[in-house]
Amino acid sequence: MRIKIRHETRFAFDPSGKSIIQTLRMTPRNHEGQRIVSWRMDVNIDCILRPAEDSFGNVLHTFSAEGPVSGFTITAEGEVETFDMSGIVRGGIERFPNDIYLRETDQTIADKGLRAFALKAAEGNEGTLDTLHRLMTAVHEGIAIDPDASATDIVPAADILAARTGSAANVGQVFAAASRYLGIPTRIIEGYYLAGPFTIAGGHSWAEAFVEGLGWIGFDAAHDLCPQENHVRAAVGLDRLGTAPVRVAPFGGLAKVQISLNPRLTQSQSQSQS
Amino acid sequence: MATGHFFDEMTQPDGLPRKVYERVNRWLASAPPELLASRRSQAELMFRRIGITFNVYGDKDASERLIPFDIIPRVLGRSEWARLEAGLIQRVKVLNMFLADIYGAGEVIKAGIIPADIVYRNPHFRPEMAGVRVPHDIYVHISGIDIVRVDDHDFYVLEDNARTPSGVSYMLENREVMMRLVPELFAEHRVAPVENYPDALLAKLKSVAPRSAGGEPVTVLLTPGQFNSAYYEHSFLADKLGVELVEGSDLLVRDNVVYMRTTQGPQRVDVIYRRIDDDFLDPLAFRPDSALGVPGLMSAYLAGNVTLANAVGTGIADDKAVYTYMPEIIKFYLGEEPLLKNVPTWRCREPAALKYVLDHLPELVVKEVNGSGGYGMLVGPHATKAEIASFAEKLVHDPAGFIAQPTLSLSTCPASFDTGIGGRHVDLRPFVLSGADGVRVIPGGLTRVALKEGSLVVNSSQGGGTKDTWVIDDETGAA
Repeated sequence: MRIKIRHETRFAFDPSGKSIIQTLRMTPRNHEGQRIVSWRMDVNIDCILRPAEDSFGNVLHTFSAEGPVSGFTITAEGEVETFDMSGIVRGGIERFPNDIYLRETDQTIADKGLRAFALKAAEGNEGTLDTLHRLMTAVHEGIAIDPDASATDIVPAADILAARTGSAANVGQVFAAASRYLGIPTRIIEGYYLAGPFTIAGGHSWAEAFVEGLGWIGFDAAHDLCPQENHVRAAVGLDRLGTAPVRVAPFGGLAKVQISLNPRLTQSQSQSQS
Repeated sequence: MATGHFFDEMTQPDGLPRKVYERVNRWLASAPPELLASRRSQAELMFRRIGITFNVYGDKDASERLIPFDIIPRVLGRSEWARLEAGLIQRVKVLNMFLADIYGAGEVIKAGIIPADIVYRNPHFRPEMAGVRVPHDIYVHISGIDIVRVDDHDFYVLEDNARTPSGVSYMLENREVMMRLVPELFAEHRVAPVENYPDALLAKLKSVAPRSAGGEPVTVLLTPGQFNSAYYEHSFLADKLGVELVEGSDLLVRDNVVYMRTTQGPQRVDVIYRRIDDDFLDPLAFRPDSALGVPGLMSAYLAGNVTLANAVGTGIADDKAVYTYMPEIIKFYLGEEPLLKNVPTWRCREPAALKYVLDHLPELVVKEVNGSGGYGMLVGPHATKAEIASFAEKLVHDPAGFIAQPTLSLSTCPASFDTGIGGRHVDLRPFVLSGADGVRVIPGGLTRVALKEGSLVVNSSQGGGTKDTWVIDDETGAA
């Protein structure tokens, strides 16, 4: 399937900012399940977008500009061809041994509630893959998706679980924290999700867990499915702080920051290849 | 290790002084108590005037304190020092090799010397640094290795400090005060100087400047600010080094280059001696709520446009769990036997060790793997039954989070009190500098002394004091 993505992030500062510096992780890369047909990044103020690669292999752009800056728009735009791999992610960039994906970060602390939740979900499982599916369903059924919650707000797993509600994008961290607690290497993916029949398209976040013999498999607990053709991976990390599409520093007289994020995803004209 | 009696660094069991202490012993024997008393009060007055203080965390009533100072120097002979120095150089060389390795090819893990999970699951292993080469492969530019003695031969490493070790200002101030206080003792000894520490440090910092820096790299000292417990030291060192003392808000990053705001406009910065923890360095890379750091600093660092000393991610090298593997790590990299011994340590993550530790809690010192400064530890012999029980619970819940060591019979040195002279337990933190041209140890260091009789806790936050540490060249007593 071909997916066209246009992802605009607008910033408005009141009063104007003295200077601005940001890092962006919004450039997808190829793996067997996705091929980047075209991609471009743009910021509509005078600055240089400096590309780099972070240690997880994500494409990272940094830019800085001197003020006064009253506002600007970051645009990431392109087309990605996706293939149904039944959730298995292969041929991507792997930089770390799996041990690192067992780490508990501030976002994925397994507190008492989370530990109990994980153990209950895994009860009676028949192996790692089964555990992960049980866990995905438990998270999906146990946490109500709040359609009004902002996808860009990053909330720790334990808080989401305690509240039993959160944005679709934050649910993935609950899955990751629980699965790590159960000893399964798990990481967080930030990317895009093309509308299914019941859900709206947009920026999204989910998890990938490592199953011996199969490799990394995506689990989208918000939608209770393993990614097929509708997901586009843009960044991988230990938690959503590490994969955040935009990181903004809180300084420089930026009294008020408004962020509006509205990725538009559309399916391209189907191009039959058979 | 010796148990039962303690090794006293001045007096031998037969009552005679050890050779290096002969003249100090003579001086103490001949000086009337009133003289020592007046020296003690003079010393306190001098420290008050200098204003050298520290803050105790978790103690609201005493936000700033003077560290008690003892006027009797701690003396090491040149030959003892040479052995210690060689061991320190070996140790710090390996700390740097270990860091270059685990952030690179990971050979030490592949060879099975250290388990992968201890490294990769450790919060102090910074994934951001993986695959990054730092100038000259030096990660730990400044380290303080905590050393204890239990007899007149062996030195034991109690702890490696490879993040932002503090205490060097005390080493320098203690010497300055002592030279004014007891000039007659200095006249009798050839004491190796410590005053050149700032020059040596600055040279090491400049030696690791990025290529872009040119002939005179601009160096700054980055402090978290005046609320930090070591702020005095930061300002003191910046002054001695002749570099600017800056806070995060004094620096800015533009197009991956770091600048310092000055009255003449932005000035490019090449080397940052940072006394801020990794977590707070850059809100764009680490804790997003950090107001102490510099946004964009990591991007500039990873682009190779600025050197941070110490490098990011050195905390993994002085981790208490990694510490237990240091003897094997040294053999792995150098093919040499470690010159300094490790204190025998039980890794509670190993079931057999955990069982032993739980059975022997009243006689052990149990430390949290990620704790420091004497917080979060159990000193078995001094703990109440209730404390031991609650600690045992913590241990069972998270065995990998703890290590245990025997209660060490730390050596004692004479200390001077109103009630007379008495032996008190001491440790030593020598400061080791690494740069492009190798490793250097400043002869001496900071001796910390547990001033409470019988106490083994030397941390300044827990009632410890300090002493001037002398390395003397003429140890045969021929003066």
